[in-house]
Amino acid sequence: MLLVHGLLRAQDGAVVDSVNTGAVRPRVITAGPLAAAVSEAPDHEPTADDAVAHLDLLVALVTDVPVLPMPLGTTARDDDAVRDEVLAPAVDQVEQQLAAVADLIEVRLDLAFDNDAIVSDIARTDPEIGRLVARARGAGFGERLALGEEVSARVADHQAALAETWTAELAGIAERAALLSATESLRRNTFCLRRERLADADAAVARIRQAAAGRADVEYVGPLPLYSFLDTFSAAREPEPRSRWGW
Amino acid sequence: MTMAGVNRAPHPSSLADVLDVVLDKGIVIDAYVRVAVVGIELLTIDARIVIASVDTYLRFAEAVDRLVLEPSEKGEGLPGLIQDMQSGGAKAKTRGAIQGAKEKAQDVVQSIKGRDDEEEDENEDRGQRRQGRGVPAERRAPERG
Repeated sequence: MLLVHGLLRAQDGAVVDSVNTGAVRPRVITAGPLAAAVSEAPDHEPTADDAVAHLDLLVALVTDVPVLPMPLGTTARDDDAVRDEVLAPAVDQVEQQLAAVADLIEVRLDLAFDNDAIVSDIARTDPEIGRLVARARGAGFGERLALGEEVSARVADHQAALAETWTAELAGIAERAALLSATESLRRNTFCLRRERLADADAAVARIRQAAAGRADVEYVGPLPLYSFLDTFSAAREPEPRSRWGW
Repeated sequence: MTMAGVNRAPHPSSLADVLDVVLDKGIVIDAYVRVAVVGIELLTIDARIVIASVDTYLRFAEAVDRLVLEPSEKGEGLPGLIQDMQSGGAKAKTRGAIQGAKEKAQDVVQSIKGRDDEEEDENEDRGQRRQGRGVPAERRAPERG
């Protein structure tokens, strides 16, 4: 049984053999213009280590060549199954997608805010807060909850404003940007970059770390395959021609 | 092959975030092909539970209350108070009041969650419950009260 990690152009297949991520021994299976990066499936259900190894392999590949990631745990019976059931049926679709993402990578930026510092900012700069606190002090549970809700909304707004300021340069470098999630203290941003701009992005993130010091920790991950933007580029595919009657 | 710079990590630091990247993500070739996505039995997937914001609101109310009102009462500047808070001094001042509020909030949360395993929750460690937000431990603000 094989694990299928990702799909590449056949011309890039040699990169798979040169990758050494330690945890996975990948090899390449080619069929026509496409190739698949595979490894022998473990004889147990995938574990945390397998998840990390899968991602590390894809990161190693996408650093140099375009790769379309397969969902973790995608298996095929043997080499023929990969050729006949994965690569051959989807050759046009996969070729188009690989061409669309050829020069593109994804990086993610997590901003983990220190909300004590954020609340301090708000208390210092928002005159409305003092009035709200005075009204809630000594009042009941409901009033304190309302105060907390007001502060929570201001914290979210302040976090969003800071994040927008800090990431403006990186967003300018990126082809596309998206906010993946925002929780009480964590904002997860993702950026689609041209591979050649990665060094510029690294430099921009170094400046983000300086700007965010004392208010947020920064986790910067990449280059990843285009997980978050795959749909965007798949959608760019030309629709099948239709007759004038609509079928 | 170019390796990641010191500024950049090749994968997220927490397993939950790694799974967030790779699980159920990527391209799907064809619904009819005989490939399978095998199951992943990792408890961390279930750890991403969204709970009501009551507890959050009360903690923010407590934090802003300290920062806004106590300076005028004590004649102490804000920087001093922040330092006080950071050194843990403020924690003791409000511990009793906010603890009571938190217990009330947890009753509300319990009713919102609608879970009937109350006995199990009562025995559950509070720190474990906080992990449900999906935020790695090292990113969470220190717990007060």
